[in-house]
Amino acid sequence: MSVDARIYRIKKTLGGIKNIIGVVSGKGGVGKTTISAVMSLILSVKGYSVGLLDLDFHGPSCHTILGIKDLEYEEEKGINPYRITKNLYFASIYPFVKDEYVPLRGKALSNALIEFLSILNWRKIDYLIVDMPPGMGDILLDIVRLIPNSKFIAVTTNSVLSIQTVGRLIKFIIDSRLELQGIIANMIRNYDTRARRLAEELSVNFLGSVPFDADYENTIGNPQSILGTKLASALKEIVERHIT
Amino acid sequence: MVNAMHEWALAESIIMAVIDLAKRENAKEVVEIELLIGGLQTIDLEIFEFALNELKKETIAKNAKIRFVKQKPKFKCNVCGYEWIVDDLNKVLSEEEIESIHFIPELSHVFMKCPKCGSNDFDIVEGRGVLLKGVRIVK
Ligand SMILES: Nc1ncnc2c1ncn2[C@@H]1O[C@H](COP(=O)(O)OP(=O)(O)O)[C@@H](O)[C@H]1O
Ligand SMILES: [Mg+2]
Ligand SMILES: [Zn+2]
Repeated sequence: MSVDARIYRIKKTLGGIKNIIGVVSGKGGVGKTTISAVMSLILSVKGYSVGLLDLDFHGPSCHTILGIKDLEYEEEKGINPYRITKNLYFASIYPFVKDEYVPLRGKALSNALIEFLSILNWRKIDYLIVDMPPGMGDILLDIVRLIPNSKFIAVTTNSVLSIQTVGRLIKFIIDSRLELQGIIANMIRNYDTRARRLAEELSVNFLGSVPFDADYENTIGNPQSILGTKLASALKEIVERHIT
Repeated sequence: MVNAMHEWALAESIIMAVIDLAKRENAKEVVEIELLIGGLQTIDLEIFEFALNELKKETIAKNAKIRFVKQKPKFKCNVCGYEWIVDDLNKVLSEEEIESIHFIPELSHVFMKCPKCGSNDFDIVEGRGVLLKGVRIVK
C-alpha cells in the first residue's frame, strides 16, 4: 500500500497556521538561521503568536541563537513545540540528537522530516518561520510537496556567488508555483546593488538589507541583547514593512 | 519525556488516512485495517491500539478489526553491504537513544553503526515503524 498516513496529520496540524514562511538560500552561511531566529523574536515581541521550526537537520543551530540548552518536549498526543515565551514556540531535532552528527541522506532524510512534522502539535499561530537547510535538497523538495501554501523569503549576501545560486533557487520556487515574499540582502557592508538587481531581473520584491553587524556575535544566546543590535533594527523595519 | 503519549499522533494519522481512503472508494464500511509494526520505533502497542479504537469510534471504520503484523528491524550497510537484524534494541542502544529513535526512527543513523565496518551509512530495510499496510472495505 503506497499511502503515507503521516501526511494527513501534517496537513491537519499545519492547517491552522496563518502564515508559513520558509527562509531559504542557495548557499550556506548567508544568514538564514540568523534571520529566521531574529525575525521570530521580533514578531513575537510585536505580540504575534509565532513558531520557529529548525529544519536544518544536519546542523541545527536556532537553539544556540535563542540560548536554549535543556529543552525537552512535552508529549500530548504527539509532541508540543517547546514554549519559549507565552507566544513563541520552537521545534528542532536538537533535543533528540544533542551534539551528535546526523548522517542522513535521501529517503531517510525525507522520512525523518515527514515523521517529525507529523508528530508536532502546532497551535493556531500567526506565523511559522521555517529555518531551511541551504540549497535545493530533500527538505526543500518535501516542503514544496507537502506544504503548498508555504511562502518563502530568499536570503543572499551581495557576493556574486551567492547571487547566482539564490537566483536558481528563486526560479525553482516560482516554477513550483509557490509564493516568494522577496529577497533579503544580508551582511551588507557597503552595497546591496547585486541583490537589488537580481530582484529586478526576476521581478520579485526586494525586502531590504541587513548590515553586517560586528557586535551581533556577542549577543548570540541572549534574545534580549539580540533585539538591541543593528541587525535586529534592520530586520524589524523589513518585518514591519513587508511581513506584518 | 515519558515514552507514552505520542502513539496518539501515529494513530491519528492512520485513522485519517483510512477514512479518506474509504471515502474515496465510496465504501460503506471499513472491515479491517492491517498495520505493520516495525520494532525500531518501539511503540507501546497497548496505547497505540487503545488510541486507534478511540479514534475510529463514530467513523466509517468504527467496526474495523485491527490487525498488527510485527517486524524486526533489519538494516543493510551502504558501504560494505552487510545485512543485520536487531533482536533487542536494549543491547545496542541506551534508553535515551531508543527514546529519540522512538520519535524519529531515522535517528538510528545517529546512534547505530554497521557491526561489520562501523559506518552510519545504512538503509533501514524493514521494521522501521508504523505503516498502513492494507484496508479492507465493503461497498
Ligand atoms: N548581518 C550579520 N552580521 C554579522 N554576522 C552575521 C549576520 N548574519 C549572519 N551572521 C553570522 O554569519 C554566520 C552564518 O549565519 P547563519 O545564520 O548560520 O547562516 P545560514 O543559516 O544561512 O547558514 C553566523 O556566524 C552568523 O552569526
Ligand atoms: Mg542555517
Ligand atoms: Zn558496513
